[in-house]
Amino acid sequence: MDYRHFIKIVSEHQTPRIKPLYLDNSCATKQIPDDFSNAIIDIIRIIDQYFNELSKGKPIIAIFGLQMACIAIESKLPCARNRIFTVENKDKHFCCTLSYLPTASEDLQQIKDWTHSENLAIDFTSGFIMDKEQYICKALHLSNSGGKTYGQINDQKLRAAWAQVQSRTQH
Amino acid sequence: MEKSNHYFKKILIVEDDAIVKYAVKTILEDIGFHAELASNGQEALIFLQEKKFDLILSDINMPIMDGYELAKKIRASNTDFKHIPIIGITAQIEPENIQKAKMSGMNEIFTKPINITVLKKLLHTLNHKSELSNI
Repeated sequence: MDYRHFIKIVSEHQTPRIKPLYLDNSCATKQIPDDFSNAIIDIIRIIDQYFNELSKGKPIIAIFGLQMACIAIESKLPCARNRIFTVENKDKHFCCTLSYLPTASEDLQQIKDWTHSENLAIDFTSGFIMDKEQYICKALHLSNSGGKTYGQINDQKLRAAWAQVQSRTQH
Repeated sequence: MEKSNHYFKKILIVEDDAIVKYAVKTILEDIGFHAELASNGQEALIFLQEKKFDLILSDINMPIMDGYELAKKIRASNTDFKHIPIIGITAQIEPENIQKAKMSGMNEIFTKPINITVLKKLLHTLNHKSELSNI
């Protein structure tokens, strides 16, 4: 997915309090297939549901990044649901981190620094959207089940996206 | 990998993404390293001037000062940490970006998602090299 395309999708589904923020070079979206574009509206919907918690008291959440997570959750789900992203390790889920900046700034064009950004983990295999504690517990198989799952991407959308991914990789 | 048998022990993780930062810190501490966190290259340079680290794990895309610039500044510096091993971590898989990272002075590049087993092996190898160079 091209970064401009990602920002365009966020822009198309923005709400009065969830906005796109174009920060070129803030992340690498290229590894994410365009097929998952249709899931972004669900991610924005879930962020909106938990706006007060995720915005840290700021009036705007500015979404600026989506990229592959550093460590993937592993389970039998990718094989069971035919959602294999990493052929070399079929147990690996396709996980990404979504980056956003809670901000008071009405002029998003002025923002150039994302040092105080926040992240959500997006598991495009299971559809779950999690905070960092829950994600790390799952990815590293830690026994304490801390953290929170905020919601799940519509499974029909995911099924369609994965069908596209599989049809492309098989040809 | 032996938990208590590391020649270098202190690793600086330079990363703006909180999920990556805490995941990598958890992995490293689990295998016996001590890890500290910086959010961008500029912060990392301040940490390096204040404390001694044995290795840097650095992201590429960061605010204020990115991983390329951080590596260049370290290699061009006249400091104790000029030759510190730097491992880049990036989601940019394009060969030109990997090349750019190496040209900036990074020793190795890991693309996301990180293969934890490979990372542990690399740390073990670097550890072994450090041990030999100090005999």
